[in-house]
Amino acid sequence: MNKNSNVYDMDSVEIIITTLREEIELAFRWNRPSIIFAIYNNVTSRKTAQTQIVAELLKSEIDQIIYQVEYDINNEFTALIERISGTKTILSIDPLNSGTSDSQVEKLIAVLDSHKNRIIDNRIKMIVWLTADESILFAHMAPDLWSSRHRVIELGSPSETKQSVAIFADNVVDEEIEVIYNFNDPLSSIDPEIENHLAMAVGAWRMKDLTKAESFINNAMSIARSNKSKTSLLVCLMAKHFIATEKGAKSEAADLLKEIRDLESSSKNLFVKTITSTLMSESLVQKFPVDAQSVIISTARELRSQNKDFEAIGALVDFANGNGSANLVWLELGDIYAELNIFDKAVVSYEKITEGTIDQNMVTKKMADCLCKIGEFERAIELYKKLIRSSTEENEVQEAWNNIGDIYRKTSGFDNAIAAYSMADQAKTSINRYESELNNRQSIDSSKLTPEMWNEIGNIFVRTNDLVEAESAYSKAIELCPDNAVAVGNLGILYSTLGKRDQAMNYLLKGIELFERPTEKSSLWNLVGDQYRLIGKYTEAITAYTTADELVKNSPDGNLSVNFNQLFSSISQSVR
Amino acid sequence: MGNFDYIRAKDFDRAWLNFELDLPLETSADGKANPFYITRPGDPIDELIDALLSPFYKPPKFFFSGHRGCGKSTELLHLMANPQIREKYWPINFSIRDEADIIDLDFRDVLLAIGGRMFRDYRKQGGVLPAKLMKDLDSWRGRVEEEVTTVKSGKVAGVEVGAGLEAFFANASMKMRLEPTTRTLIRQVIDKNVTGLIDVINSIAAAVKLKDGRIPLILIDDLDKPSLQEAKSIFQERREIMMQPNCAIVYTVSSALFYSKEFDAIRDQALFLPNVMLHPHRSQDKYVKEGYETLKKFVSVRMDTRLIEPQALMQAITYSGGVFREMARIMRTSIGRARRRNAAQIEKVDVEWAATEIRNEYRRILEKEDMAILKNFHEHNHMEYSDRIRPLLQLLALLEYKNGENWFDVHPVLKSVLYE
Repeated sequence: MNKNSNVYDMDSVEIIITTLREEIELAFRWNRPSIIFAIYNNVTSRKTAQTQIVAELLKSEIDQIIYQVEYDINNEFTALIERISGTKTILSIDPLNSGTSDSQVEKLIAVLDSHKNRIIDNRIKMIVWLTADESILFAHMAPDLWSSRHRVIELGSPSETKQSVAIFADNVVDEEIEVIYNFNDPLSSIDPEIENHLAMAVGAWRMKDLTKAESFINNAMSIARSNKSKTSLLVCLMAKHFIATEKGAKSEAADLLKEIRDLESSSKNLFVKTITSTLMSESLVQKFPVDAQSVIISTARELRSQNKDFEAIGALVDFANGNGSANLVWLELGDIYAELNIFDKAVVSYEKITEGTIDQNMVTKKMADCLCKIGEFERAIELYKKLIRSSTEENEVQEAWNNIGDIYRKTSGFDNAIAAYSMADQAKTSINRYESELNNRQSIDSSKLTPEMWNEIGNIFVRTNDLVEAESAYSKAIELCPDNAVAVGNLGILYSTLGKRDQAMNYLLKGIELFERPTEKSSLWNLVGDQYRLIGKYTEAITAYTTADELVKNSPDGNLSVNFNQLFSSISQSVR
Repeated sequence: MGNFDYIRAKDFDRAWLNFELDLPLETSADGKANPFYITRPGDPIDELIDALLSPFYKPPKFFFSGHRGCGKSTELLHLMANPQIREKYWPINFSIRDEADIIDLDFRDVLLAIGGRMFRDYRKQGGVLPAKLMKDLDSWRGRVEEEVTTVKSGKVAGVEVGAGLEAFFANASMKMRLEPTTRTLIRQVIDKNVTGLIDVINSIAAAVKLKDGRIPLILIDDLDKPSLQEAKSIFQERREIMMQPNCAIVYTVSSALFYSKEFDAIRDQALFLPNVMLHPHRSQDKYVKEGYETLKKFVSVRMDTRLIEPQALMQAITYSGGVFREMARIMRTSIGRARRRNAAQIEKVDVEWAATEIRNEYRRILEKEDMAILKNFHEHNHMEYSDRIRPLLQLLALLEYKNGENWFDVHPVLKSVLYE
């Protein structure tokens, strides 16, 4: 390749810039996308060109805002596209650390390539600034996006470009052109210890304690200085600047801003161009949550996301032991222990929760569930009973009764289990009634059972997962009364659960004939649809579902019948 | 697309607009073909239409391939508007880019995209699915959300199941596209029960068919963009699964995959859309009249041809290499040049300038090794697929043609620099 020719026999830089302006003007005029690649040799020529482009665009009397975006995670870019879509905005993009050995151009390519359609559909006008090497990489990694380019401009050496004194960032500030800076990337690369101090600083700021906030920031800054981490130090300086602004300490704020600028210009690797402290504060406080307990819980969750479960637990325990009011933290600890199957410690944590804003019934349930896991059934039952007494939620009460029933079933207290399940059915909250039922329990003479009774026995056997016995009970009901729609339907449902499709279909269809209410017919039609789906007969399945819908469309009662609803949940629970 | 008016240009400003590179040629509201649409030599898309209109036992699956920039997306849009197709099928067309990350694509992503788009598009058009199916889909959604908490669409009391499912599919698609971690998690969930996902797709397809009376036809664009390895992983290793959905599907595939040996078994289900041939193989001095007429028509439907000198038009067509996208690029760049000269017509000097600009763009991004490969192809026109030529094909530095056999040639603007 003959690189000695005058920019490959092209026009001068002035003409390049003019051409670019025309391209962008047309794109705005017709509201079309414009994807431009600007390839440069050095940072100075880039900054100069950027300045010139700004000046050229302003000539066209379009009120423009130039965004110099340091790319971020995909979500942010999507949001940015949506925000600028339809506005008179040029998106000016370059990779983080462009032109250095640490250029993040690959990450940028991935972001832009994955947004190609979005960029075009939203008619974005963008200039991507790349060095020569970066452009080669770009073209090879994202050939599709490269092929969608509208223009490529190439900027020569500084001697061929018009020299300009002001750099782009200064021009931006002076011309009041807004520069948006996105902070999440640097925040994610900060040392966790520094991040913790910043988190506490935000927490303190939220609690209006600026002195404490400043103290936390100073701690973070010490660590940043000792680590010699310019990135972290910069974040700390900005946080301190924000606090100084909040305090109204203008002189201090101005000094800090100068320190920030000096740090920027002294390091080639820094990503920062120009920022606003408001943006900084928004980014930081969005990253960290509201109050002290939330701060530490958030920190713990961050640690857990890095698979540092026990460090997270340590942080929470330290906090909780050192703070009188730590209900949220104890709850979080309990949940973490439960998740890690350390149920005894989970119980201990839950026990530490005092009355307050936390739902005590929820805590009671969690404790009871954990006690079940470690075999402390008596304590668990007592807690479930406590829940039953105090709860006003029918579902909660039913579940507690069912859990008691399950415990008794596990411990072979079959009668107690049946009684508990019966209480669940009725959502009874009276413990006395339950205990008196147990006391009055008599043995049953099966020869005197009616079909309805056999049906109920079948239901109970289902709940206790004795499905063979359930099949037998339902069959008995049908034997005594072949037209008993409920028993026929129940047996159909049971067979469908057991995977006995032919028998299921037989009884379901028969049940449909026997039931009179549309809602019950509808329920069974849906089950018929399920059977068809299981064997891949989708058309027949949809026909069945549609029939089910039609039946209830004009019915005053569009809900599933209570019996079937309960049976569904019983069967599904028992087979889990 | 919004309110784009497909009007033949009478001035350079409008002409600049009409030669936009990625201009989708939407059909009009009355179903008529787009005014900028032109029939290419041999009308290859008719083959696909005939195949789709033929009777079948199970909804067919086809593979649609073609050279880069040859107009595959345009043809898919055109297919969507075909009245006979619309009578038999309920067609939806989408780019996989909108649903998944093409840099990291997996068969599960494609299946989820099929189900999600079918559901969303059907609902968007006012379609109603049976309540039981909606409930089951909602349960399926719940199971996925339980394991992948980042796709939770928010179970707010009172939100209609359908709206919740729509939100879930939209959210999942966005996360699949943008968040690698979530993508991995969703794939793991689907892995545990791929049959479940196929069931979701088939149930939606059956419901659409029963309610609408037409078979769903899914046209998936940009599946030719992932790497050859990823494409093989989806369409060869998982072919059985990709054939399972109970709807008609047209999968776009890259030409590299199309011509790979492993694809032999299903080539009869595939259609290839070639570039327009301007010169016969190994006969650069001869012209294929039909090819030139096609590209002339491409220009004339978009622009009054009095705006371009006849010789300049011929030159532009030659430089395009028979690739519609490159024709648009040359025209647009030439128009820009002519405008700046305040000329009344595009002249040869403008076209040459445009060719130089494009040439320089390639010079910037092609490495020495690339140039060596291009030189080899220019001398031998020989076809041998390798990973090394794939980027050159994607960049359109190397162009493919089909004339019985397949052959390559270098992008015409590059020929003058091959021997520098």
